[in-house]
Amino acid sequence: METALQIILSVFRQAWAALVIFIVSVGVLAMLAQILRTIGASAIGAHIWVYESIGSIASVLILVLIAFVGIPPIVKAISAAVPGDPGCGPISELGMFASGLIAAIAGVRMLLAFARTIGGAAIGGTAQVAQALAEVVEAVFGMLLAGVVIPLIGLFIGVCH
Amino acid sequence: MGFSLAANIYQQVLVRASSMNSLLYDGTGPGIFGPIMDRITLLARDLWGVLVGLIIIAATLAMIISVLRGTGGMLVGGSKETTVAVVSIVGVVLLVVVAFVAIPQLANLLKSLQPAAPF
Repeated sequence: METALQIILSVFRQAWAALVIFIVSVGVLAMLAQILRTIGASAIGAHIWVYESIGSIASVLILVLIAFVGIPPIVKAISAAVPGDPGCGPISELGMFASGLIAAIAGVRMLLAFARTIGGAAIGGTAQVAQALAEVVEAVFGMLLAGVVIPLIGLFIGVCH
Repeated sequence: MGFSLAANIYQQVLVRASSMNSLLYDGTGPGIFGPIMDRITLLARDLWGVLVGLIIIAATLAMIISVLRGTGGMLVGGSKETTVAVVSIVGVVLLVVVAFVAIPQLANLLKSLQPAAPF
């Protein structure tokens, strides 16, 4: 189980690295595009566009910083919140496997949600930070289920003593 | 007999999975996502070039428009119009400096902040 978990986690780590590169690329291109918009707006005297462009640059920068600085501690915290050795026998192994997998999926989903948000902010669309936060809650609930509730069920049905 | 067969199958799966693990990820790059990331990086570089070209064109046109506006203002004695035109030229130059100097520095900053996978 441990080997299988490591293989799956390595794939998720690669996805994480790819998403990080994608976020950097999109963020930098978004800032450059907003500078272009600012120059165009200032050429035709559109002040509101200038304000919007500067706001978009700031928001993209803040979103990238939140994604890079905020998400890893959240994932580490929800990983650390799961008991180290839940239940007994196969339940313990399955619980550890599921919680490790859910932590990886949660991390990648959160980063993906922020990537979508940054992409949306880059083209002046709506932000989806709320969805990213909802995915955090989903992840915490899933890890709670895998790490705590399954061993409790094992105890309840008499598998673990 | 059935149990030993299951154990053998499990061992074979582990061996194959271990070899697949080294095939998928060598610890240096994005692994199976490498080809996708190469394409995204290539596309991003092309887009960067396009945007830089567009910024140069837009800045040049904006400065020409401002010079025209300032000249027109001087012609009709509109000192405020000329002042606004001069300030616009300075603003465009500042924006170009931000685009070509500050954004690459910000990109380097963001690259240095790239987090490793926390799981």
